[in-house]
Amino acid sequence: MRVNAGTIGSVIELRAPRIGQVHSVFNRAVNLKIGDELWTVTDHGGHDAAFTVRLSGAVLPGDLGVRSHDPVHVRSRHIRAGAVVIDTRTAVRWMPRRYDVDLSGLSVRVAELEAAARHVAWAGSWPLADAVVGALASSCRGDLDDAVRRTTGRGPGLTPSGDDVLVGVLGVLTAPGVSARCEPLAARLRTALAPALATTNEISRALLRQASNGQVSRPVWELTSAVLSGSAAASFTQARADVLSTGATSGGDTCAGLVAACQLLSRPLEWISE
Amino acid sequence: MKTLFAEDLNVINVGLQGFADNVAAAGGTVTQLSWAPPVGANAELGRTLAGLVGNPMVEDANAQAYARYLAAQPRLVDLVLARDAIAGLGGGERRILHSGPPIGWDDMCGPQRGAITGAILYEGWADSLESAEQLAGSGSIALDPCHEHGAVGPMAGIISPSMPVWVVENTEHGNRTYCNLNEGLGKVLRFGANSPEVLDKLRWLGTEFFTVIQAAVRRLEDADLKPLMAQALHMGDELHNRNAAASGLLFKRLTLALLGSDVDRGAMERALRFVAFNDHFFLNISMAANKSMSDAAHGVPGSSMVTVMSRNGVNFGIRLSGTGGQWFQAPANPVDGLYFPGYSVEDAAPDLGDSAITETNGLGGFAMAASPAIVQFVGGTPADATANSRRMLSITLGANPAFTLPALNFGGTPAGIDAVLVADSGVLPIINTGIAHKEAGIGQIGAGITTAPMQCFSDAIAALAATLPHETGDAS
Amino acid sequence: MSTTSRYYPNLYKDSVSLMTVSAEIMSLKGIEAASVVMASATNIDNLREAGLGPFEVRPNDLLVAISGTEEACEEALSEADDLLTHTASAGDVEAAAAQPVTSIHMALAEDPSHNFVLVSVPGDYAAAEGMKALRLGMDVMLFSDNVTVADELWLKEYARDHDLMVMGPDCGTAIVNGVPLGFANVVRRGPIGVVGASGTGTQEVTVRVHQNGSGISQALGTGGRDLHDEIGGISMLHGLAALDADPATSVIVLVSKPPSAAVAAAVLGAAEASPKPVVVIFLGADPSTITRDGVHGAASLAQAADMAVALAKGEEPRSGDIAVSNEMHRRLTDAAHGMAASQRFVRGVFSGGTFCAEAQLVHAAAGITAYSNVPTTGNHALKRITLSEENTIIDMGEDEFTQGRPHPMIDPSLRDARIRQEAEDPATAVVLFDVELGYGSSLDPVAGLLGVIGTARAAAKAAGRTVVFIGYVCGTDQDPQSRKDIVAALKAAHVLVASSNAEAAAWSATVIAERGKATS
Repeated sequence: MRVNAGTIGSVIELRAPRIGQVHSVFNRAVNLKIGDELWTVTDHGGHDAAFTVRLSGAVLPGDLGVRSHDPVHVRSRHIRAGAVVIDTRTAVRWMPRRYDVDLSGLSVRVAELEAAARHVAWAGSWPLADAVVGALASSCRGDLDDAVRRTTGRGPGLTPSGDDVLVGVLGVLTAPGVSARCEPLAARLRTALAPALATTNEISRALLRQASNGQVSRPVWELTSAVLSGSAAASFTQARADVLSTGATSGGDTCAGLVAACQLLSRPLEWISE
Repeated sequence: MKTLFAEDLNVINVGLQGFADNVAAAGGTVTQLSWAPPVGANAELGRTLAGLVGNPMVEDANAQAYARYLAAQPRLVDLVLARDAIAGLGGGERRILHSGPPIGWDDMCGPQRGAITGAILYEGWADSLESAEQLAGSGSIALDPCHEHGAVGPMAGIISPSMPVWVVENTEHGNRTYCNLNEGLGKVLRFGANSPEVLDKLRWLGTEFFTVIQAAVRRLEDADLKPLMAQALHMGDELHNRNAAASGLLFKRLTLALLGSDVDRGAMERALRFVAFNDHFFLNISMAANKSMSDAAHGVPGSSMVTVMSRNGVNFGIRLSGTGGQWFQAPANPVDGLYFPGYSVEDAAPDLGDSAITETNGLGGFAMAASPAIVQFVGGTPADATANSRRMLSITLGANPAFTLPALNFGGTPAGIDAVLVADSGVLPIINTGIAHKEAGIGQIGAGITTAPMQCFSDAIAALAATLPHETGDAS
Repeated sequence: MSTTSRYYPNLYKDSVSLMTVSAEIMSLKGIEAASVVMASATNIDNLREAGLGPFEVRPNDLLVAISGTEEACEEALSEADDLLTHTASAGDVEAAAAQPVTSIHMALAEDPSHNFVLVSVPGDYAAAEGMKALRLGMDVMLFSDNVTVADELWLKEYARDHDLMVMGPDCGTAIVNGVPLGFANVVRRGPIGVVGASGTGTQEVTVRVHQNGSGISQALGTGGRDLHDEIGGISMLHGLAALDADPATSVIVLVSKPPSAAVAAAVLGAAEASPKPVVVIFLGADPSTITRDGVHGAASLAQAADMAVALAKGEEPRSGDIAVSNEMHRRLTDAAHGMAASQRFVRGVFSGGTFCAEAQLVHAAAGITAYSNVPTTGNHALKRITLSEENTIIDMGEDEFTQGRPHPMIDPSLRDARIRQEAEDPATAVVLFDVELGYGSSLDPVAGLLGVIGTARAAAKAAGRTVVFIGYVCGTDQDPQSRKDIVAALKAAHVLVASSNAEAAAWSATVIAERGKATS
């Protein structure tokens, strides 16, 4: 069976020869483990991210007939997974949209986002988000390690709610335009995260690693940019809706992290230091 | 670590069969190629070709061109006189457009000369056949390819200033394309007929019919062409030689538009009757829509995507997205087909017309799987039709998800011909075509399948390679 | 005598098919000469020089040119037509059912798990196919020869920049992931990796490793010109690096003729830097100039294999000259004493180029110079390759012997005929030869030879001469041929069968040295 991909992720490399295995199969996503990377094949309506392959046409990844542990071969922009060939020759690479940060009115947008996300997120996400952000603000290493340990792998969902919170936090800390002042915080969070990664599942771990590198999915990128750049109301509303509709609580949990992390931005500059 | 050492060996054997047999006997996996030297066994050009295969610059350019092609949304926006739409026909200079790549009057085939003569009479630039021919041969009338003016025309493909042309706009990018009206079957200008009956019909098409249909087009509720064409593909059309379903769908839309208008009742009836009884009426709109999609893909530096395939009854010509206005021409290949009773290959004109723009976009012969009826007409079986569509997948960049073929499990039609793949594989684009009598005015004498000549693609890739920055260490 | 020709536009057939057709029509009575070729510029030139032509053809046309009696020509043309077009239409029927795969890209697009391309098309086109393979992310083995230096560099520089390997051009032997490619033997997998610039050299090393109980992880070819200055050893260096990084390889063997000083320095430098022990056989170079830290110079192909096996077991590798056992020495000198006075010379008739070179070197080390069509340093070029002079050791796999003919490893009949010719020469004391087994080689490599040996031996005896036949069978018991049976048959024909090519040459040198004493 042959299918075509219309869009590929921002970082994924499909030219050089790679081998791997099918990691997991879902209705709208098939995950491939390629070396240290986790690639996701999504249907046409799925979300772009760093390592995604988004199919064109109506076919669902779950209907491709691949199974876990099927061998995967990548060569010259073709992927073979099990008996399926995915042709990415004409796929366009999604690149996260550049934007200018404009924090005026940030608190208003954050409040709107929080209100919309309050009943979508898992209830336990909010205190976790506050704990992580509070620990970052306190610059006490032990607090941060604790908070991260208590958050990683915690809560319901294929991607545990705690992990989604961390993605939301990292999305803000690594956003272009704020990363200059937030990079020290991001670095501390990465360090605290490293040993905790083993406590969560492989899929979520891959997403956390990507988020640490500033690589979030398209909806999260768009929402973060909408919050941080004061873009037009329509795109903020759309971006918010896209994130909140992800998973059961996943999107809401990400928003909890995003909201909490924005508090760091509204504090006075000299406080944010090593 | 070499990836190779961690995989099972899977060999492609290019050459002596014995090597493949031995690999298999030794328990290995191997694919034997049916290989022949590419590009006419020209070794030097073969090296150039090798530099284009898997070339990141070309691949990225192709992805860009293909994305523009996919995104195109052709919409039927108007029907106007050619002089009011096409700049080259609106000025003071006398100009007539013809199908195919550039060609001089002296070299033109019979049907095309007959049609040009007829057009000169239609325009009133001469008053007899002899003086019209003389005028045509004198050089005082510019004779240009339709394609060079954003237009297309079937068979002789003649467009003169006073003829109505469909205006199709790609709403995604804004580019516009044009095509003349389909006169129906029998003795018609596009087959080179230029008798008084032919001219009379042209005059009616250019006046009364024009008025009615222009009103209809301007009042169309649903003028988007891709969905209409996609639906027609599911109803047995391939939108080159079989257009009955699409013509029917268009008829519905035009009629609805006219019902609310205040067009003269008698004129409307004559016009609609004409459309209803012309099963190829949509062809000309299909051609303009197709051109608008491939025009969107044209002009991407480094892209080997074919954006024009066209014939003038002598030569076959192509253009690539990355080589601008350059034509790559070669004598047209013979047509393998069936002839109407009383006619044979000796009577046939070489392949003629801009209608290969449909194949250029993945329709026509590429969508043959959609049209078992046409396959019989061209002398094949439905299995042949599906096989033909599948084979075209090996020379295209992708499959167009907007045009799905039920016989291919609703897979998209093969789209985006890659000249590099054609040159490398030896698989030639396949075209469903009508066969015209080589003498002007007799008309269609058969139908069949032909292929685009390899020479065009050889020349095209050589030219494309010359536009790319030289890589270090090239052997040439 | 008349000449006739026919051409088939755009019909392509590979070299084996062309040779088969031409052999068929050549066998017809009344046919003088027949050429069935692709109408490339070179082939047209050759035909013109043979007095045929001119022809109105293009390079992708297939040309049949025949001379002979008029009726024979007619018949031959019709026969050729049958053979050429009959198979074409059968292919078409199949093609209609399943799309034929006509290009590397098409094969890869259908199945991206393809990871290797083996190219054996004519040299004019081979480099382009190789480049396509590389650009599509696959390693390449170019069996084809007649590829220019410029093209080889073009391929190998691209490969180097993309971490891929070009094996070749003119690479006849490889074993990748345990699969024999080209002319290669079936050997067990094991910890020894080989990178070789010579086909039969690689065969000898891999076979010997197997016979010593060890095995081969990878045997990578580099092509015969890789270690020339213009190429600089790009493939050998890549192969060495790949084996350095391969967890399944613990010892590496490099096989070649001696490279130029600059290339040798680069290769030996890389070998020294390798974390794994490296055995190097540069045939004809003094091993002591090679041996350095972690790098072990060998004196022969077989010795290189033995050293690698020892190193893989963690033992010290032994070096030194090839030993001829006391018992064998006695047998050989006895045989030498029993010869007629005219018998003084060795006639080495080889199919493997590297075996021919090694044999010359072994004789030279014993003070015995020889003539050859590919003389090693200090030896002399044969004036006429069809007529041996004094000591003569020839490679019948070289181009001058194989024009329009299959390689002797595939079809040994010319080799057999030459051996008969040598055995009939009163000056011949020793006939020395090699037999290659494995994939690609004839499945019955000694059938004709056994007859030749029997007849020649009897004829010599009748003339009062005793010729010593010494042979070496390069193969394993897992090869498609039955090595056991072949060795037994040779021994039954009183051929002295050595355990390595170097040993066979050493035995021959012993006899010739003894003859030298007897006749001086």
